[in-house]
Amino acid sequence: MSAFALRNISKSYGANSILNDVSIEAEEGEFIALVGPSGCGKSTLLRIAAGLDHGDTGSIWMGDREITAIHPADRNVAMVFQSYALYPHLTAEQNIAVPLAMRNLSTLQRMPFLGRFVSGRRTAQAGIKQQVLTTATSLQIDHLLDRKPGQMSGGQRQRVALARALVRQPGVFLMDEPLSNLDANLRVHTRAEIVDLHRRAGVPTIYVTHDQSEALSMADRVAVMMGGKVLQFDSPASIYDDPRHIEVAKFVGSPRINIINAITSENGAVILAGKTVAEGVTGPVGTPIQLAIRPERIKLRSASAKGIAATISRLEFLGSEVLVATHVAGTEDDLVVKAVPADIAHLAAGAPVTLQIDKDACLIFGQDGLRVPMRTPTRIAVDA
Amino acid sequence: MREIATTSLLPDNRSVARQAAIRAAKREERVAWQLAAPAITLIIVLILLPTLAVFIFSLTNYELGYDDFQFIGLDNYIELFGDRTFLISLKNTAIYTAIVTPFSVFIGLGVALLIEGETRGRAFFRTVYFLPVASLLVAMATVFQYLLHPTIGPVNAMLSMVGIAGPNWLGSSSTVLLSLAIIGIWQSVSFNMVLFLAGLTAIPRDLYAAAEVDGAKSSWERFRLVTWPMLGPTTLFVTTISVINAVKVFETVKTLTEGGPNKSSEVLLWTIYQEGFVFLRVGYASAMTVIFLAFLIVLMLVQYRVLDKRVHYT
Repeated sequence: MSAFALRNISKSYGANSILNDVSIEAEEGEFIALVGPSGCGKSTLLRIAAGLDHGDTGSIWMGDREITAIHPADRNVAMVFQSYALYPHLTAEQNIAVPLAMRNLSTLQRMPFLGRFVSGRRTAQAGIKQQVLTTATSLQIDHLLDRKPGQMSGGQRQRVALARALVRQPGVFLMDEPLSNLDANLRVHTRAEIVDLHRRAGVPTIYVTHDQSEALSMADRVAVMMGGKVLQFDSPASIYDDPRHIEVAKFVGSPRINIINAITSENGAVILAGKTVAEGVTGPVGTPIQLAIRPERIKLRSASAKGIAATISRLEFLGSEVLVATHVAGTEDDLVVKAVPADIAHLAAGAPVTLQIDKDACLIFGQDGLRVPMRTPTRIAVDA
Repeated sequence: MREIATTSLLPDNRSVARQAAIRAAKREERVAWQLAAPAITLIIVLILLPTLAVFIFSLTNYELGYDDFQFIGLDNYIELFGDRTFLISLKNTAIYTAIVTPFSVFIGLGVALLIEGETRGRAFFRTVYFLPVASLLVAMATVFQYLLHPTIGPVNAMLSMVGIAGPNWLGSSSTVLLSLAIIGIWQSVSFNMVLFLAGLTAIPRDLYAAAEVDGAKSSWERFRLVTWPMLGPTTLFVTTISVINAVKVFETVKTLTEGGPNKSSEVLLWTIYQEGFVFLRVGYASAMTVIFLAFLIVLMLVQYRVLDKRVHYT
């Protein structure tokens, strides 16, 4: 049984389907990333998980307790918002204390002025203060406690928002693009910190992002969402190396995966510029397919080497690596190859080169976008 | 001229770039003055000069129709504070304001919250509640005169149905100020509602979501945690406007009670109007106006000095 689960959630506004039978579950202490382009329904799913929104069908479970109809306040979920959603009139300390005060103090004790005279308030407040301080110290924001959100930088506000979520022990953490308002440097830094926090707290986390590199680098499992559906829910390595759908392959990885339109030949072979790059594709001869190859799985060799003849059309120097756009006769789009600078030392645009493609690097997708099954292991005698 | 003089005194090694920068700044300043000139002229002619004229009149015994007048120093002001009518009108204005302001602010807020929470009839209710702002108070006063009429008015008719003998609302000195205040509230609630609605739409939705997740279950708790603090600047502005409008009450007094009965609805603007336009004592009326202005300015300064820091959080 999973620690937190969303089962068969669907939601539509009129004829507009936002979520279509989505199921996601997180094991105890697991970090799940929901990733997809904007408008894919990932934020709506998170709001449904928090109870701020409701699906048309489906159920939400925390352990063996169904919480589908439970008010967000009673779900024991904590949420970090993209905008941080800090209360601007409260100091950092008061902001972090809100979830504790709402739970540990009675309505009477929270009354302005009158609350002071209700018994037990002082003890409860001392406890809250201590918890706030502990959480703030662990996030290194204890020196900011008496500042208001308006007097803090984006990164500091982000930490206060994290502290507000961390301060009580929630059943699940929900994070809605918490890093997207930070600058690039801080984002990479905070990424590691959030993962670290997650490891220490051990609370299942659902993290929504549109940044595939964020999802791959942080999560234990990644759910790739498109058009209201989960296309693949798998480990980052499987998502990257073994995508089930061409949209997943295209969405994940930078630079983008190379896609070549081709037609199968005898024995399910796929032939590119006279060279067989894959074999054993199921289906009749002449089936149109899409061949996808990661840029780092293509090797750049000198023009005299055996392989697929190509011409360099563009070079992009990125420091540790170079992206080489090459043109193969008979194909429409350039094939992008990731090479090390040493490989292209004396090459310029227009130079002829040879490409060698690993046979097991070719991913074959059908016209419906799904992976095409292979008849036999694709490892065959290299004729390149 | 000064600019040329300083430029020529500059040592030769001053860079050309620096001189260009100075010239550009001067040019920009000149353009700024030119662009601001129409507004400045209008402010001087339409606001500052008339205010100054009122202040100067208040130091004279000028009466409309007489050829000459003398400067009599602060005599008008000294007379004012011994003037029973003026003191009564000061007191009545204060009572009227003290009733109208809190009621119109809080009822306005309540109506705005109800309309904001409504999904279907929002536009309809907004329009209906805005009608009093658009209607002419002088014209509506006749309606109120009828409603509050002691014998034929529907208000007293309804009261008598439940066995209460209704008072002579506008005709008795014990209820006249209250009746005027009710009309005042009726009018300013609608305007305040519009301002609060604008303030409400500016509150980020995420804050309510955060409040719910943080454990604010009831709408009252979310109001306390998010709505009320976030409306701070709006509330301050609405309160200020309401106070100013209440202090300026005139139309209902002029059309319904003329300050009576027995001066029990005598308010500041009415007294100023009587002195200036009926008794034609312009100097004396001017002194009252100066007091009136000073009263308003002090009130606003206090509000902004004390409260502004507490409602703006950035």
